[in-house]
Amino acid sequence: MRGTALYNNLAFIERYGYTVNDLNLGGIPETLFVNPDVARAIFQAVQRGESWNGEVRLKTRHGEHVSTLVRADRIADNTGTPIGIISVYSDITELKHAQAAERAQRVMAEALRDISTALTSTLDLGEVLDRILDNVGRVVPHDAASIIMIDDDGRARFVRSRSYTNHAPETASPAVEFAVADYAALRWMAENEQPLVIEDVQGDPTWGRLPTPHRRAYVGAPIHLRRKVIGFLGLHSSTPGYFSPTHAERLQAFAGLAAIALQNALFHDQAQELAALEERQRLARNLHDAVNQMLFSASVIAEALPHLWERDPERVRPQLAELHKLTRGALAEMRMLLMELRPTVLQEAELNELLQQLTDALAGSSRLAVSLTVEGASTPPPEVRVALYYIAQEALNNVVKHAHAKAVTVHLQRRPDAVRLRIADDGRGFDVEHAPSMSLGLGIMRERADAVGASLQLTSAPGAGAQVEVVWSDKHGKEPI
Amino acid sequence: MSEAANPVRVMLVDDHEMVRSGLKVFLGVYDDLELVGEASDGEEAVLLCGEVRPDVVLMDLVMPRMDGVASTRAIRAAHPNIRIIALTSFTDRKLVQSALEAGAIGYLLKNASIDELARAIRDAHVGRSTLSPEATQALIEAATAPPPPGHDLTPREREVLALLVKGLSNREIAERLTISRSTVKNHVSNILSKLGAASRTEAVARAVEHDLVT
Repeated sequence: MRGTALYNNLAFIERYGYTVNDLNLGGIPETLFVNPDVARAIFQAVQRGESWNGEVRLKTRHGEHVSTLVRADRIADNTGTPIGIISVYSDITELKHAQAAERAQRVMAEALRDISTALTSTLDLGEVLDRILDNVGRVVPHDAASIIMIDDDGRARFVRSRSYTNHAPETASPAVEFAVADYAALRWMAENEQPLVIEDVQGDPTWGRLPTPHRRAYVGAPIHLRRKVIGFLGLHSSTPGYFSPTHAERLQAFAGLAAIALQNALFHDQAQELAALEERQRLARNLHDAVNQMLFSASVIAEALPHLWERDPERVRPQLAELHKLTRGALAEMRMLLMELRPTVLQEAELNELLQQLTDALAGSSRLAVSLTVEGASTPPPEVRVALYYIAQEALNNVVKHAHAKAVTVHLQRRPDAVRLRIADDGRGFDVEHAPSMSLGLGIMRERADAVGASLQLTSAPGAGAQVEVVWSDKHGKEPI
Repeated sequence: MSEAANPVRVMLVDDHEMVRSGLKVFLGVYDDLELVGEASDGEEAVLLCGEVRPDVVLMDLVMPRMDGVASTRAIRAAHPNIRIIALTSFTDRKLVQSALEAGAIGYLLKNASIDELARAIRDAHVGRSTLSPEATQALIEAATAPPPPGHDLTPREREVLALLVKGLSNREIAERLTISRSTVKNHVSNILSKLGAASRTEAVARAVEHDLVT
């Protein structure tokens, strides 16, 4: 058995191009096998009486390498003496390609799934943009990346850009606005909702005057939400022709994920804005209600005063005092509401001024005898002042709504390292043990106190009025008040 | 002003104490008007009317517990002779309409002068109506406004629309209402044409916008 070929079937000749003579002239191992040693190993194995199964690389007559599955068996005569080998060759090139593609697909799908989780696990727009650039390298390698966003007015701007080479990113700053329509490359992507590959941006007319002069290859994908393009994701390479259609497809798939994450973040932003708007509307309603009532009452009294003067001069003086209280209350209410609309003003105000406004507003809007006393002077941190202000507001609301009180006193004691605030009424009181905490807003007051490390104490009994006391002391301070 | 023989008995209803105290000063300077009671919400007003039998009630509308519209309805049902004037800061069309439907004879805003208030009380006492210009405007708008979209939907169509809003498919709607899918299809196409909507989504948007389903 010297390895002489005796017969090749037609299919073999078609696929590999060799006739029996071709093989025999050159020798089977050298002619057919990319690695002739493999062929010799197969012959030896078969001569020992074994069957051989395996994948080998063969070369065709035209020099093409073909992955082939080979099965080789010994042929024996009727005495059992080996007289030859029969080999079956199966071309598995297609199969190999398919497997490689499937593997790539699987890796890609896994990457996209991970990326999707990473992108959608935050609702912060800036964070989403950063994560897009953090992750896009997993699907398409690149030297630089940028994101362009288009605002509601159709103006585009670079919102993020990164470079992984020594060059600084050459994209324009976010402050520079431009129109998508002015750049053919962007316009094409927006109109076709398709990714775009440019072999070399240098000298490419579609690139126009977009920044990034010394980048060469470009692949971009539009980011679109429900058929509206909201931005572009662009990747650059310093190697001309670097990006393939496969890269473009991957970038497009990635841009789809980015769009979902951006949509979530944009919706979140809108929801936040809506909540802020609703808060402003609530304030406007309160403003309307409280201020309007006080001013209506004041104007009715002012109009009635001349008549009263003629009929009962004695009663004019107390009504003038009433008028003053109402207008002062309306003013205080206005200032408070304006302050709530602009939190920085609230944070900067002194606690005694804030309490003065609260008590003025209350005196104007109710029959309560309201008194405020302030002892000492110190300025606790802003968050503490704001918390104490809201606690006082809530406590005074409770007095108005539930206490049936005649008088309420607000007492503020300030020392450099501690502050104590006490709101006490002479109303009907309640059983503290069974107080409906939510309806009295006690939960809210406690939360506010806890948030700044203050302690809140509520004291009351049926028929004995109620008292809320909040004490805050600086952690570094030694003795509480 | 001369002493009136039979002053008009007036009751004040307002949850804001300072409003009542201002109005008290106002009533005090007219001899022909007399304060006979004060209530701080609608419920208290109903109870107090039975006791003090006022001729005219000045009624705030937005109040805790029982609002002014419900209170007006209850007072008018129990005491048809008591005249009620709504006195409020609000002029929404719906509020004006429901106050008048509940039986209020007047609708004044909390920007009225004391002369206007006094005149409205006297007129109400003899059965004459007073509306603030803003309230009149709201009523005119209500009368001349085109009917809202969907006013001609049948009860069944409203039912189907409600399920559309919940995002159900025709098949699911058919199952839910135990009717055939082709019937559902008919209802849906009627709904679209009555709402002037091009698609289901648009119909749902209209329904939500105009409050057509609850």
